[in-house]
Amino acid sequence: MIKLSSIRKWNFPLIIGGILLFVLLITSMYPEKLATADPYGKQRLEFQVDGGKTTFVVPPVPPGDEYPWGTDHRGRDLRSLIIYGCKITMITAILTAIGRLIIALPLAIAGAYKNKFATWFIKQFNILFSAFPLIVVVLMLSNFALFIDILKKDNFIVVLLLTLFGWSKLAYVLMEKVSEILEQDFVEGEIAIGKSRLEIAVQNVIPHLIPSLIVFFFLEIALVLQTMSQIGIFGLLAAGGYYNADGDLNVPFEFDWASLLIFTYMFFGTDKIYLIIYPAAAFAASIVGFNLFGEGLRIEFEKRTSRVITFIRRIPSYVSPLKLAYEIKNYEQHKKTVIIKLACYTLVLGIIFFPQPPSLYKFDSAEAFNTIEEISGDKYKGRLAGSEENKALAEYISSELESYGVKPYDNKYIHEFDILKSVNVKASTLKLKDSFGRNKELIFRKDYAVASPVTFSGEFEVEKVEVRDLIELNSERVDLLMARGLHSKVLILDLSVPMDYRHMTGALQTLAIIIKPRALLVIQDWGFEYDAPKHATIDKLFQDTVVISMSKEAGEELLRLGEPTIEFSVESETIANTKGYNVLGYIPGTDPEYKDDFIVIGSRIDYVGDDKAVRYPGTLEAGSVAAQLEIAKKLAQSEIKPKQNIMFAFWDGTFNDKRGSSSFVSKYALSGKIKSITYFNIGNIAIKEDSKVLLDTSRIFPKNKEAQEYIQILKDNARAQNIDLQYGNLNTPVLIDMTSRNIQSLMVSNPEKEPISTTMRDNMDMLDKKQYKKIGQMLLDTIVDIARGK
Amino acid sequence: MNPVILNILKRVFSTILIFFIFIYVTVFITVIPKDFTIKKVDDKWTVTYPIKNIVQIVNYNLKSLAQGEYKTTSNGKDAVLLIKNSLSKSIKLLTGGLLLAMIIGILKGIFDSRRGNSRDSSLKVLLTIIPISLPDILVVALLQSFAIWLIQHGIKIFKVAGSGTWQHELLPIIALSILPAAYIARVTAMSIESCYDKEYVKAAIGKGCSSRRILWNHVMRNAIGIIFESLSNITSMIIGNMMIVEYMFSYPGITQLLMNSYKSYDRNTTIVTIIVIGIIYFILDTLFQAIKHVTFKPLKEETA
Amino acid sequence: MSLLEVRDLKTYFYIGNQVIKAVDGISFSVERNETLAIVGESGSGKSVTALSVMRLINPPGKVIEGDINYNNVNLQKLSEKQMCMVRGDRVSMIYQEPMMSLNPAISVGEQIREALLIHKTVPKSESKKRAIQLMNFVSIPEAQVRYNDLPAKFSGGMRQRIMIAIAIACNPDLLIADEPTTALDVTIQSEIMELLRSMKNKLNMSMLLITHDLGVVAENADRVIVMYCGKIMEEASVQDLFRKPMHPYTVGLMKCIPRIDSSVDKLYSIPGYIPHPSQFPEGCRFNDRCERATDKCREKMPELIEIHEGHKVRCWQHHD
Repeated sequence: MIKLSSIRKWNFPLIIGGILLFVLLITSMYPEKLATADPYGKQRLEFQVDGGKTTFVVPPVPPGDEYPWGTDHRGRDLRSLIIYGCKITMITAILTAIGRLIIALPLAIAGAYKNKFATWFIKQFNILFSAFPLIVVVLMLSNFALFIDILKKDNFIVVLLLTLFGWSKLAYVLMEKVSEILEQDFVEGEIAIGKSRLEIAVQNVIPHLIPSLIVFFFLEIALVLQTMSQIGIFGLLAAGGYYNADGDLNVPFEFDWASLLIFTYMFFGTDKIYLIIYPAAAFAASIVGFNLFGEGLRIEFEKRTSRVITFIRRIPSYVSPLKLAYEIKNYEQHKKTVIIKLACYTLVLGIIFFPQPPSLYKFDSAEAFNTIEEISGDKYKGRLAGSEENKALAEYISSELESYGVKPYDNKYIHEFDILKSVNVKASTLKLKDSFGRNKELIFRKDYAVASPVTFSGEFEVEKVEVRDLIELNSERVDLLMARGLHSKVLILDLSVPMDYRHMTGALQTLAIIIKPRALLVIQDWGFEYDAPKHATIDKLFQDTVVISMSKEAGEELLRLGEPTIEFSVESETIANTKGYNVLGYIPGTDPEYKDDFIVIGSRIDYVGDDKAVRYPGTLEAGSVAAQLEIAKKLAQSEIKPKQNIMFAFWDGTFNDKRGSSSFVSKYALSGKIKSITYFNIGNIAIKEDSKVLLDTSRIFPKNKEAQEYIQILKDNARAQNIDLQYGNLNTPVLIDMTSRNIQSLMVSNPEKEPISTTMRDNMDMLDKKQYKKIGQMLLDTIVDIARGK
Repeated sequence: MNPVILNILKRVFSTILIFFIFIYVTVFITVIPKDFTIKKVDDKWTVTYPIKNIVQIVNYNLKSLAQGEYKTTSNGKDAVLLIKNSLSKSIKLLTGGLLLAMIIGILKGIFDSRRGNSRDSSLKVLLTIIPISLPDILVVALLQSFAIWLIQHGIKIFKVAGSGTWQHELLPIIALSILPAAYIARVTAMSIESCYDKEYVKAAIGKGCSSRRILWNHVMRNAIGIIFESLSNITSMIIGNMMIVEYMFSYPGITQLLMNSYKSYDRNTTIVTIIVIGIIYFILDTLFQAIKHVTFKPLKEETA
Repeated sequence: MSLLEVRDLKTYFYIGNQVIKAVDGISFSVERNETLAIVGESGSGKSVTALSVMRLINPPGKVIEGDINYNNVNLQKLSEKQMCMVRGDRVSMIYQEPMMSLNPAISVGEQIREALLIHKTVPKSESKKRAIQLMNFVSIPEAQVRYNDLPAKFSGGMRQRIMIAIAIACNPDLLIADEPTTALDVTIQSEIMELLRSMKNKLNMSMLLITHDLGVVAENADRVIVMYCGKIMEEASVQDLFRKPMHPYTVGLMKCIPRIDSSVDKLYSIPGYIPHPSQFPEGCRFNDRCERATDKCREKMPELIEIHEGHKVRCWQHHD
């Protein structure tokens, strides 16, 4: 029985602080196990009609059943955010504390040894950056390009700034402590027997200092966390960012706790105070934890008979492998200890190197590569939607599905839909001739791109027009314009400089509606190392004008030539009033409750078509189709009976205005035939340039527990395959259709540093075969796990 | 020359020196161009802005400030009036907050300390540590919720945002005082306890002094010096707190002015507000140092 | 009736999970106008005895048992408020470290005056005058001027005088002097003891003198108690103790004092070390250092028995 009186002797701060720190540690290490939702899933505006009454759910959603701590203003589940953010917040704070200690300690020791400079420096720095609030310093310098370039990650910038400008308080305190030690009588004794200052420092000061250092370390972390909480309120850590689809760090990554506070200014003084309270409470808990632990340690160190200290001192001997070896040698005497120690070691190693069970079904990459070769080959001529080749492709895919045993959806594999128009700009030439007769040939798709799908050729005079002449028109100015005879010319418009977008659209409208030149050369702010993607926007504004977009470099050269003439031609193919062909196959689910709920896996089968002289294999896109086929095959042949229906969708017409996916949604989802869909879009996977794989889960509601489980399964499988899966914001036209009240989607894809998709480089050389196999396996395992109801 | 006066002069001089360095650093940090960085151009590392240019810009700014260019804000308002108004509001907040903090803090500290009585229970230590660990944002948020809750139930003492009446200032002052009060309480408790360990307390008990007398005549007299010494740690904390409080209560004090002028790229006003805040800090700090010297001096002689 | 009568006092300290028996059952009495000396090495428990009488023992220490009767009033049973009235007024104490015992922030005059004010010995208007008188009484030069000085401005001897002034301010019946001269130079020592002696005579005070210095005992005490490891080993009048010390420990202490009339190569010291207060040996606590220890000494603790009149000893050697 523990006596009540002995409980009073317990070191409560140490115990409670220790518990809090332990909780923080666990939360940092295993956020997935504790959070109910993926931190990126977003609750969108949704409404529910309930017998005449409509309730809106608009982020930020207050705490309730579905969102225990509410959502932030972007709709992300606050509790999951806080849990996931724990690790990075703690790391930032700890790194800062370490940094401050590194700067402060030598200065403090020097100062205690009465080094004039050190003392002076510490003191003045302290005064300087107390008068100038630390928050303000960090505010002003956090956008500093120098820091961003060096450190990239926003949290490291914070670490740097807080360290550089915040070390002085710690130095001051340390200096006092060291002075205190030096003033003790035993030091005088040491000096008297002739020890040098260095010896004294090393032999005496440091050992006495270590306990204090440890205490100060923890207390300093608490202080840093306090400052971080203040900084967060002012939104200094750049507001809400993510990796964009290019894999670039647009605006830094954020769900550390400080960033959660950024947009809360909108809600001060309102009833949405929970937005601040939960992150602030998280801060409070961690600050309390570190403070208590530090103070507890201090109390413990000051005790003359401290069991904790004795325990700590004995740790090296407990862990020493030499000692263990000795004990094993004398096994007879140390049986018990040896067994305990070995058990501990096995446990720890087991947790770290937990062996992964092998995948149930092997992803046959050889098969997949064959499929890729087939699809991206000459036969389908670049897979332009609406072409006969695409019909053949659809038939190929459906026969494959049939052979696997996948059932046709709605009794047919091939689902036709109407396509108004499909265009393919196949070839173009452009030559500049200046007044001296010099020629400059521009390279199609590198220096310029054609935005009008016409077939056309000619030689023209060029004239430059200014944006400012084309806006804010009155009849007088219009007359002026018309008088220039621009209607028969090819005009150059420079839109590559920063300008008000209203001016830009105004100018273009003037050209399209009033002036209607023969052709328009628009200089825009682009430039690629290789070539421009073929799917870049086809212009819809201009009726009879041929629109050519020029890269910035080419444009500058054009302008330098003064007013040359241009000779250019375009050849394009237009297929009108034709059909697109989705292929839909599914494996029916067994649970009647889920009979109208589908898990849909999708990829695009169409592409941009070949150029006249250049093949566009579209290997990456073919890769996703091939992967999907392989998954379908293995799943169907596995005889697994999933609870829900699992559908494999192959979309056609994804580059067109009315996409295949859109037609599917209106026919089946909007009509109510399908109640809900969880959609997995397979993007371009395994690009050679980057081994990072991006996952976008932002279209999944955090409260959608099932989908959140699927995400977790995907993440687990990524880990099992050693894939670096990261969050990214991905976009593809299909997702526009597959995002609505009852359709929630996620997408997996590789980022592209330079555009590859829909360029000539999108071929087999770009495909990272090893990575492809891993990703394919990951996806297969994920779908299998979901189907098995894991 | 009288060494005391010499000492004071030395201090004054170094304070002024620091102050000027402070002004320079302020201008520097505010003015330095945001896209200053080091890029690799033709295989050599070069800065995007030569440092010389930056220094020139800084000096230029300093000169124009000295010549009075700060007098209007970037959107043409009278900066001096603006600064005066917000300064007076902040000072009201500061004085109220500090006074309240000292009163509450010292009282709580006395209450918290063992006063030589009960057995060392680390449970009590919890009570001193937890209040100082709360982030001020939490404190303010809770206060605001509390005030809103009161308003919702018809008790309209506090106004939650803005300024103009004493009701507007009440909550911010309370909010501002809480963390410094917790800190002062802790320091008070610790210094009181350290005094209680001293021999002269035991001797005083031996004389027959009641515990009240011991506390107020003997212990507090010595503890006050220690408390005031650590007050200078508070000054920087309190300015940080003031920023948060003014921001979250939309209280138009000087730190709000700073934030607003910074956001609207009004460089001069930003610089001037920072300098004014710095002055507040220096004055507070000097005040505390002076008090410390007056109360702490006798103890220095003890070690002679 | 004795002025102070202590019966079976036990004061223990609880540190960690150890029990330190600082004072383990001692009894003595102090008569009026008498000086009783308590002698022992450091750690024998003599200071703790004094503090116990004054009820100045704080946790982790506690007076477990025992009666402390002053003028037939059981001090243990008084409320704290009542005890405050006793302290400084009827029973006073001076301490070993005059440096530490004075509040550095208050002037010495005020500290003396405080004693007068607390116990309302004189009306407030008179108190300052009286304080100055007291300062004169203890021979502090220029008392009027130095009234306002802080303790830091006085030497050790002066400070001790001030302490004495505070202690006698209210004419106490009993003055407890805890090693009053240990921290002072030898020349000052004799001055202070001289002062104490004259105080005692002029004010009809009794004194409980705590010291480790046998020389001081010889010059100032009427009766002596020798303590070792929390227990009284021997009790006698000064003459009896010095002429016929009985307990081996006392004998050893006497032997430690070098004699002016003999020359030795090596100074005597009692063999062994004082045991740690949590680990007293079985039986007589001195047995591991005693030259004459027998098995009985190692097994059983002897009682304190009066061998001659007024001379008690706790030793098996003398019991039979």
